[in-house]
This record gives sequence, structure tokens and C-alpha cells, in this order.
Amino acid sequence: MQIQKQIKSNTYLLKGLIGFLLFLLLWILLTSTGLVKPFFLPSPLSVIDATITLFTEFNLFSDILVSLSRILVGFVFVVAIAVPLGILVGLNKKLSEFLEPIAIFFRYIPPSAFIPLSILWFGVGEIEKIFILFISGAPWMFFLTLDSVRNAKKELIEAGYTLGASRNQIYSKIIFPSSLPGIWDAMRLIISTLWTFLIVAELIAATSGLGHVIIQSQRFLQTANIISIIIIIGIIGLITDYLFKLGYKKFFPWSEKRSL
Amino acid sequence: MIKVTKLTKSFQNGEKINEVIRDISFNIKKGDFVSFVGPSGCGKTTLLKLISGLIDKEKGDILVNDKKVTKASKKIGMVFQDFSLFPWLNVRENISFGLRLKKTSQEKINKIVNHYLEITELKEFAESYPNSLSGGMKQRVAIARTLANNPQLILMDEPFGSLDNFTRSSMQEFLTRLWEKEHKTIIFVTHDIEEALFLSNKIYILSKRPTLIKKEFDVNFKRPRKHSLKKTKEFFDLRNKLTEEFL
Repeated sequence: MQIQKQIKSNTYLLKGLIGFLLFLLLWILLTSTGLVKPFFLPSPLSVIDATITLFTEFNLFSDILVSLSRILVGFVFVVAIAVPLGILVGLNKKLSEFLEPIAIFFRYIPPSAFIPLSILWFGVGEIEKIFILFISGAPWMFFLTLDSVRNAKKELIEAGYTLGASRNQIYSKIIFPSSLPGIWDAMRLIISTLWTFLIVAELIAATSGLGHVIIQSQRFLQTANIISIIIIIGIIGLITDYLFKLGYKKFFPWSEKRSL
Repeated sequence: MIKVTKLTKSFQNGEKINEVIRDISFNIKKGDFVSFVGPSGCGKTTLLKLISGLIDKEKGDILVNDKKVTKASKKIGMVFQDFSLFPWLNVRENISFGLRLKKTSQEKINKIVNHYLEITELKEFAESYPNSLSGGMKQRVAIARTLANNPQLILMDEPFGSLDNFTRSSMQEFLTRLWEKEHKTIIFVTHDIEEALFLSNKIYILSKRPTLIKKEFDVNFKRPRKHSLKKTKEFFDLRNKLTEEFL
């Protein structure tokens, strides 16, 4: 059993690597044959070159840190407000009648539509970015939390009642713990969407951050820089995802289903 | 003593009213093991949920030790077909769930849990989560969890229905041994005639919807019962007699 699992995870890693290698191969083919002009798609080597210059001469590291900390602060706000609210509303029918319609309203508005308003309100500083991230993540986080809470298995609730649990104990000792893996998976999903909207916000108005570097590079026609940043965001994404996966295994070793 | 009188329940389905349970009455002595056998789709689960108080009855009365059952409580324990273990709790925590809901001293909890870990042969798995247990083990945890609460009546809803044949018969022997030792009052529901015969002192045959008691049989095989009982002529004859009720 154990060995089988290990082999599986090894081949999983291998297959994942092959996927990346194929992608790289296609890239080399397209650029080295001159099929695509370097202006549109620079070769992998020149992207590596550009990356080194970005780090050594333009202090890319600080832009990475700026974007990362915006994501983290935004994410903390999203989780701190949307998760408790989702749990509360999931457990309380009356509250859900008040709050669900307004959450649906916000869920359907593209967060990017708030960017101009947000700039008017908060300027182009950090508060504006955090606000955009909050408005992008909170409605979805709320609904995914609500869903996890409402999906608590009916049989477990019935078992709880026959074991003498009161209504409040059903909430705190059955519905709440059973919803946690789902909430964790939702957090993992939300943090990836936060990147989408952070880059959009930074493209439109920012003086630092990865989105800012992208738009600057576009102005100076430095395609290699843009691709470098895109790859860096992808790598950050892979690491984040891996950390969430590890967290899932650590916090929910009991889970009956695999994480997303 | 369990006294059920004229229990009736219907569910409304749009315009139509489906009568699921009609006029079911029976008495069960303290410490008895009684089975209800009926075809799949008859209201067996509904019957148990009514008795447990998980769903509201329409008419009739349920008395457990002269007290009316109005809602689900720890007085009436239930073992479910799909085990219904709490996946985030290990075996020990699952078994002690009911005890930890009220203020019970840790010492007392440990004593009770260890007793049932012993009985259900789950001692080595006390710290395991349900996701690493086999079906038979899961159901033993569920039974231990119910017993630890010391209910006045235990309802079992096809508890071995999702187990393979081998595990199923070993669980039947396990339950028989358990009952012969602790004499809990048990109402057992199954569609398997042999299972009911092997386990119970009395069998009620249920009809299809609306469910009512069609016939009752006393089962007087001597105890302790062993698996070999199923190969005896008496067992065979009684089984045939019961099977005829379904034809």
C-alpha cells in the first residue's frame, strides 16, 4: 500500500516534469527556427538573461516582495471576514436570507470594475490594492465556505443527535469540523484568483509590484522581461499550491477525500 | 420495556400523500433482541427513525421505560448502515463522543472507552482515524460508540448491509457474543432473513408500503449461538417458513 502510494507520487512528479519539458521544447522550437520573431516571443535563453538583469540591476526581488505581501494581506482580510461570515450564515437560516442576496450581487460584478472607483477613493497606494483583492476574493470565499458548511453530511448530524448532542453541539462539534477541509480547499482556490486581480490592479495603477514591472517592460518593448515575470508568477503559484497541499495533509490527515 | 402503539407516518409528495408506516404496534422486553425484516424499499429506516425521534411521527405513541419519546436523545442509540463515524475523530474520540458532550470525568470516560475498545477488539486502533479502518472495524467503532453512551434502547439500521459476506458473518457472531454478554435491548432491521434468525429472539415480518406488521415469529435457538447454527435443520426449516412469507 505504502510503496504503491510512493510510486504513484513519484510518477506524478515525473509526469508533471515531462509536461513542463514538452512546453519548453515547443518554446525552443518556435524561437530557434525563427518561426516566431524574438520581439513577440524571445528564446528561453534571452528570458533567462533578462531575468538575471531584472534581479541584479532592477531589484526585481523587492517587486516580488511587494506583490507577495499585497497578496498575503489581501488574503488575510478575505479569510478573516468571509470565512466566519460564511460559517455563521451557513448555520443560520435567517441571516442567510439577509446576506445571501447581497453576496450574490457582489459575486457577479467583475472586481476589475471597481478599480477606477477604488483609485478615486483610496489613491494608488496599498489600501487600493488590498481593497481590490478583498472585493475579488471575499464573495467567493464566502460562498465556498457556506457551501462547505451546508454540505455537512446529514447522517453525521443524525448520529450526533442520537448520541445526545444539543443543537449547538451539532454546530460546534459536527458541522464546523466537517466543513474545515472544504474551507481549506476554497482558500487554496481563492489565493490563485487573487493573483489575477492583483496583476490587473498593478497594471492599471502602481509604482511597484510585478504588474508594474510588466507594464513598464511593455512600454520599453522588453518582451523577455514580461515573459520572465509571467514565469515567476507561475512558480510562486506552484509553491503556494504545494504549501496548501502540504497543509491539507498535515491538518486533515483524517480526510476521506483527496484535496483538490 | 419498549411500547410502541399504532405508529403511523405518511410523507407528502406534491399532491400525493404516501403512507409509509401504518398502525405498527409492538412491545419489547428489556434486554431483548428483536428484528424487523422486510423487503428493500419498505419503510424500515423510517420506522427506526420514528422510534429514535429523529423524525416526527404522525400518530401513535412510543414509550421507552414509560417515558414518551418526543425527540432524538442519548436514551435511544442508533447504529447506521453507512457507519456515520466522525472522520475527524480517531477511534477513541469517536467512542467517547457522547460521553464528552456532557461533563463526564476523564477517568470515567477512559474506563468506559477502554472497556469497549477491548470488547470490540479495537485496542490497537484506538488512535487511528476511520479512513484507515476496514468496513467491519468501522461498524465495530460505531457499535462501541453507541454502547459507550449506555442507551436504554439500541436501534440498528441494516448495520452489516454494506459489508462483504465474510465480514458480515463475523460481525453477526460478534454482535451475538456482545448481546449474550451485555443484554442490551436491541431493535435490528435487515432484509436478510438468515441474519435476523441468527441474531434475534423475535422477528417481525414487515409488508411493503404501507408498512405494517404482517407476522411475528419467536426464534428459540439456544444460546450461546455459533456460526454452525446456520447449518442445522431447525435453522433451515425456520428460514424456509419465513421465506414463504415473502413469496
